[in-house]
Amino acid sequence: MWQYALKRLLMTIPTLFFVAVIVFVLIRLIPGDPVAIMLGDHGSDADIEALRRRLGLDQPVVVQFLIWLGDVVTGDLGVSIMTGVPVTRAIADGLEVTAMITVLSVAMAVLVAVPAGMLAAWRQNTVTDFGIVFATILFLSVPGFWLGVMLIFLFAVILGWLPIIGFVSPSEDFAGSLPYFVMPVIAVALADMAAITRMLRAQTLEVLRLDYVTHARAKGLSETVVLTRHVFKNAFGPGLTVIGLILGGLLGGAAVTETVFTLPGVGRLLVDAIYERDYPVLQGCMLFIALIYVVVNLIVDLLYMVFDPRVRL
Amino acid sequence: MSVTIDKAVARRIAAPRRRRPWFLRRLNGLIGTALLAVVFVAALFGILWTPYDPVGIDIRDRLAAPSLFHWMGTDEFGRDVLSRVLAGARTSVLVSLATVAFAVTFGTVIGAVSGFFRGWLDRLVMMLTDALLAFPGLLLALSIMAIAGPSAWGIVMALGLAYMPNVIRLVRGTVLSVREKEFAEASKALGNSAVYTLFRHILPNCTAPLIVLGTMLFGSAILAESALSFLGLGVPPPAPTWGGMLSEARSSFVQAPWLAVFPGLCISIALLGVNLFGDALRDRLDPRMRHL
Repeated sequence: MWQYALKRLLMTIPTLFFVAVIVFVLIRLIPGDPVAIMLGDHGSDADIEALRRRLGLDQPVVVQFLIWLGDVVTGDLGVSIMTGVPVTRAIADGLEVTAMITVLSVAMAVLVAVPAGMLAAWRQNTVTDFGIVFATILFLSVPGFWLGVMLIFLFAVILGWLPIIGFVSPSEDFAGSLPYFVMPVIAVALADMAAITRMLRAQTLEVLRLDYVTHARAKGLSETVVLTRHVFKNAFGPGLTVIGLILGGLLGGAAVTETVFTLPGVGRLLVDAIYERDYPVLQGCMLFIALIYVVVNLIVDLLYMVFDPRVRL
Repeated sequence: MSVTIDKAVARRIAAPRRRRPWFLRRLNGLIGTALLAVVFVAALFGILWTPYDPVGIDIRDRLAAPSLFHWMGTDEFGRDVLSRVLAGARTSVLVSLATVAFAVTFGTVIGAVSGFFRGWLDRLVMMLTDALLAFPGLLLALSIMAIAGPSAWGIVMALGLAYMPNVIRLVRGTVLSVREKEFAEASKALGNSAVYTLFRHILPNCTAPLIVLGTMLFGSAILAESALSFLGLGVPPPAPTWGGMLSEARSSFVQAPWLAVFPGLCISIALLGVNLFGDALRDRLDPRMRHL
């Protein structure tokens, strides 16, 4: 088991290396000279040359990459061109918002989806099942950002129950910040809830057919025990993969969600960096999000072992 | 010796498997096809004819509510929302189709060559696809849009590249499992070239899963295109896009809610159509995934 875990852990190293290569290459491909952009209209040719030398841009590309990779590995993502704030600092500031939305929506989605998916499978081809399946297809088809706009219209503009303007940081006043997260979390979680429900329904259907379930029932165990103790464990494994993918989607979609609800998270930071051509920030955000995604997938794979001992072999 | 089993237990163990009634089995596919047809017809109208000029400004008729003249009302520049929705359908459908075509064509060739010839090329391709899959799709598309600048072709490139690893993986996996089969061997034994064997005998095995994947990618592309346009990183204004219309609608929310309702409804209808159609397709073509 530890051998598998170690192997899986080592496999992330080449992935992360290529992630760094891709980010580095993408940023270099952006048209326009970053030095000219940094200096604005005031830079003379001599200034540009001097800054270029100071930033190491006169070196060969491979050398540049290695220097940059060294900085990244030691946690130095550079400084924002626009604000002068270190990129790591800007990401850390935005992270609490993005993490709040992500964690809350995944938690909410799983809490609703697991019982719903298992219920639908258990009552397959009944009205309950059709109702749940219909709801999942509907939720999967409503884009989160439209739902967000509609929620704002209903709850903030018409009813006035939830705040939309302003923001309270969760690290300063956790309870006070919660109202700002209700709508974003609902808008984001519904589609994910539907995805997990479908996965769990499909898996439960597979598992319910297996002999050991019949055996458990024949032993006289109650349906509740059969479902929670015997079926759940086997059905939830593949659900984990979906949750890993969803986390990735949430991190990528954070840009959209945080724009709809004007929240200062990492996604918003990334979009602003694109608008303002703030390359160090863009680069840092991309690396950071990809890193988180890789780590999440690693954790999912390792958790798989806990749920399904066969993987350990 | 006879064994008596509790009747309730017996019923539970040997419960007859309920079959889904036929009309429900067919219904999903039918509704999905119908909704998709609506979207494609709307796109066709967007190409050929719209009731008003989708970018024609009419200041006298700003923020008009839905009426007989403007079925979906007008926006803050007096542009007809229905015309813009139709033109938006054109953008969405064409961009998404081009994206899927791009991802499937290049992904299939790369995946097939990689899986068939193996070796260092295969290892390199796999490492690159793994690294690309380490980025959430929308993030990758966003970053490529930063390079390409907002344009329709930029989106096709960005989303196409973001989706390509999925196609590569699917094709490579199928090719790997099929290339050792007897009929592939037989083709080689008959003296056929490797390329002929690959395209004539091995690749057709990918068709069914590719159609299913392509349908799903089409849905993802519609959603991603509208999300990018919503962020102002898609097809640039004044060209009408569903995402862009939704983004503009936020400023005149209170006076004109219809501006936000109709474009969002269009995206949802398109996605609902793709999802239902895709499910039905998968039931037909890929029996292993029937319960999903």
